[in-house]
Amino acid sequence: MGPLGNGFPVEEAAKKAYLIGGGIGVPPLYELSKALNERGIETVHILGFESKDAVFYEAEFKSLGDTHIATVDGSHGTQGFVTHILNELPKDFDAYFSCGPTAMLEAVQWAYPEKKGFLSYEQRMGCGIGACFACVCRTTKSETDYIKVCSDGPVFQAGVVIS
Amino acid sequence: MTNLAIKLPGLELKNPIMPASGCFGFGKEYAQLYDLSQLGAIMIKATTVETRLGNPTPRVAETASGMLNAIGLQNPGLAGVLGSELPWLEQFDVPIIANVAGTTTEDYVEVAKEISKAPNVHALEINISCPNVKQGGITFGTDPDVARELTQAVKAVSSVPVYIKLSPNVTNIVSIAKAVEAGGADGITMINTLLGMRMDTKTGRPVIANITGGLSGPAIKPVALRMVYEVSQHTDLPIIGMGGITNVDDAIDFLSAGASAVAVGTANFVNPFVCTEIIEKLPERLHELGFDSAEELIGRSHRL
Repeated sequence: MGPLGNGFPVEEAAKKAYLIGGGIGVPPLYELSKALNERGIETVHILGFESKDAVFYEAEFKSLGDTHIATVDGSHGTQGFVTHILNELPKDFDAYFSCGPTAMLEAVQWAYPEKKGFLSYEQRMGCGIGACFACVCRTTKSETDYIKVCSDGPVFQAGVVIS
Repeated sequence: MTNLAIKLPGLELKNPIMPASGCFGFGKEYAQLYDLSQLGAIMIKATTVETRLGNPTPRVAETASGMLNAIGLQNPGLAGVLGSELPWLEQFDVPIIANVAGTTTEDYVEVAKEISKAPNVHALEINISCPNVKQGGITFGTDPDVARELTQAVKAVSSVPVYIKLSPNVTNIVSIAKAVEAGGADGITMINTLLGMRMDTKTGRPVIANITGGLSGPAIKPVALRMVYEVSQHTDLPIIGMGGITNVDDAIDFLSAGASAVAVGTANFVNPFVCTEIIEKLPERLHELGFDSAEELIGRSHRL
């Protein structure tokens, strides 16, 4: 079985993409960045970690494009969250991709309503195939609409999932 | 040849193995993996009168040898189940046991009356034991008088035999079993989950958003076996046993304890093929143990 669920839609990026990751959500962005670069898309990486000790793959990301690091305690890069870096960067990208803690995704998904954004969500799961209803999230479509992160996602377009 | 068939009120099971309610949705996801007609029956996810969106997340958490869940009976409601889920299941040669839930007696009666008319619903499983909803559910399953009255009310309107799903969260499960038998139940399914908690050690907060959840998985098998053993000695009703079954020997243990068939729940999340694997292995294991049929196993612990 597997891999289960969907992936990042690399074909949605035209010229330049922002890849925004937090902590354990950073690793999937590395393969994504490689895939985007292979398609000739310029990538900019904005990565957040707890502290300097938790930072990884900085050099690898740098080899693929501009890379900005934020740490919560300020021991490396910008002090604070990825959103602090995003506020300083130009909005000259056409699509963004993000993976990380729910609070970070929530901050990111409303930041660029004019851009195409794709976010990879996390929820505790039971079955992984859509049968147990453990990982459901409500959506912005209606009061009763919902998605299952495991089988409908984990990647959703920005502005859809209420987490 | 080993005979796996079991006959129960409303149910001619080609084998005694079925997925448990809540762990199998309405079959669609598992149908992508194997032919559902192989199953003895299917216990579909609980149906309520109206659409339910369930509890806030996190709804599940792992525990030692098991898991907690507090899904909160999310389901598309009676109209959705009758209009789309059950008709879709008609393509399979498998009897459906419809799990019925509610917050009032009127809810149970309405769902039971309508859902029992569906052509592929051969029996009802009345969920008086869900620990994860604020009203109804388990409150019907912890007081013998209330359980008896609800059984009578559902029996009066159902077109198919009625099985009552018992909660283990009681002091004396035999008294509840006897009460539903007096109320006219055709059978018993047992056990539902055991009420439990898990803490986040770092923050001190409960991990499940609902605070408590239902414990399932191998951790509860000894409790379930004990309860099936006790109840089977004190009622004449057939029992569909469940609680932590993950392999063929677990299934055999429940039949030995007094169950006439078994349901597999949480194990489907670990191995989605578990039901078919148990069905495949059952003839050989019965043969090794010296039996020609699954039926011979039922309640053998009481005859030793």
